[in-house]
Amino acid sequence: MSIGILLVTGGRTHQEGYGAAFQADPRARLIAVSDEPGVDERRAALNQRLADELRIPYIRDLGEALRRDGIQAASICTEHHRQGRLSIRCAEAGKHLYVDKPLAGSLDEARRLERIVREKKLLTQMFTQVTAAPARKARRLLERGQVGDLRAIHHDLLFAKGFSAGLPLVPRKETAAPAPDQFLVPEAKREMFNIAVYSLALFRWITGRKAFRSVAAHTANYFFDTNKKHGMEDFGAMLVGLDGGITATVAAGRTGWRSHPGSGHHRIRLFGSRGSAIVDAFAGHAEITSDQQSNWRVPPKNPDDPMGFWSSSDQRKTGGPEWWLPAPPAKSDQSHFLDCLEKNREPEVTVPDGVRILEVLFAAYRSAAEKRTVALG
Amino acid sequence: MQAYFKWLEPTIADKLNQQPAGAPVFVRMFLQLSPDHGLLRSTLAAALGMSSKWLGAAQVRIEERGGAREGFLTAMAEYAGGQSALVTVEAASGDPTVSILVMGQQGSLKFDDYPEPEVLR
Repeated sequence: MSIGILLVTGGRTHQEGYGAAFQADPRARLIAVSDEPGVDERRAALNQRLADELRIPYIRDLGEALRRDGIQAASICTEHHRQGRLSIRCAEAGKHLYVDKPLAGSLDEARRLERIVREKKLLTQMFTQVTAAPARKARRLLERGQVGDLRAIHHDLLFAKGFSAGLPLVPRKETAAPAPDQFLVPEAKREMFNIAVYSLALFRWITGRKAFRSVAAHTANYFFDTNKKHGMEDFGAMLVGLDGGITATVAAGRTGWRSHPGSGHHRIRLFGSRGSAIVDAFAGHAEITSDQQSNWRVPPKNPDDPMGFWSSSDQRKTGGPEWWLPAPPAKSDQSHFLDCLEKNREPEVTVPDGVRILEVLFAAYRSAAEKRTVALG
Repeated sequence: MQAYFKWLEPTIADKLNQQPAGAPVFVRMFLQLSPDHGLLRSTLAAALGMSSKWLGAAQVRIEERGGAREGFLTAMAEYAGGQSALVTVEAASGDPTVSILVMGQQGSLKFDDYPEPEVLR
């Protein structure tokens, strides 16, 4: 069996990783990179670049690409403000969807997408970290009853990338309510939006899709002048209520190269009726001590990707004998999606899950703006 | 417990004052110090007080969840300069544990402790 995959949007997005993972799986066959015909020259060049790297054609008109034979699924990884409408186009064409996170830049588009995929009975998966080792381990701890009945879950996900500037400390005035109008520029992203989505997906997945009931959030500009200039938070904290009286908290952000010698602080803490447990994504960390011990160094600034957003810019810390190793996933998130297509099984985080998560993210901006807990559902 | 806090607060504060990680902006703290659910509230208050001192700013907003029945209290706090904290106090089911992460603008400070129960009496 060969599953034809259309990549919607190319380089300098996470499609770099998604496309490579699909190509590495013998069950998948990449058909082309495509996009909207009117994209700007930079985007078109980046689309062409990924197509060249993967040795597949770049079809400039998404409509034309979707009419091609042999496409069963689309992997959609565009800028957030286009993600909803392009996913809708692919869903309307009857393609199963592998979509980047967060699902869309608009709740109306996300809910419309949910209706279409339900009507057409499409299999959908949103990229998250639930297929990665820390999440799997946390769920096994719960399933074994190690902490008893879950009462609280806490998630720190702090990406140690970007050059922090030592900004003057002032409270951020959140203006992204009811919804942000801008999500991404080459040198800045909305980091709560982009990172807390992983935490919310983890909570929904690990609790068996318990509904979100409330959110209180705080957003901040602690680290990057570029984020501040564009009005985009680089950090967010959340206090979330779920059905069953479960409480969850999130610390999510991009915190600068110096904040951690590896990828960043990443911990899951579970608290239940029998006790607590911690999953540290870097618990498998290795360390060398010697008389050659030196301090690690941040990579030189790359003007093309100053925040280290994309894997193709290959920015790494160097200079020290210490190293920190994230546990390798048993299989990629993309392979999980192919499993589901092959077995006609519902993926673990779907478009409807993505809509519920997006509702929390937008409510979180409202909470940060109005300084109060916002009820959900 | 007061004796432990009297040691903990200045120990972390002294280190932060040397600015090894730049200005502190966020505190994440988990405390499991006693099995007594009745002590959760006072322990949370003490922890929030320490966070305020470490961040060098007065608390201006607090949101809370949990309670004695749930066996934990969790608070999200904002401070006058825009700093923030997530502080959780849990009823201990085993030996006491303390886990603190302070994010600074140029780095981070991580502190884990397993205080002897006698220190907490």
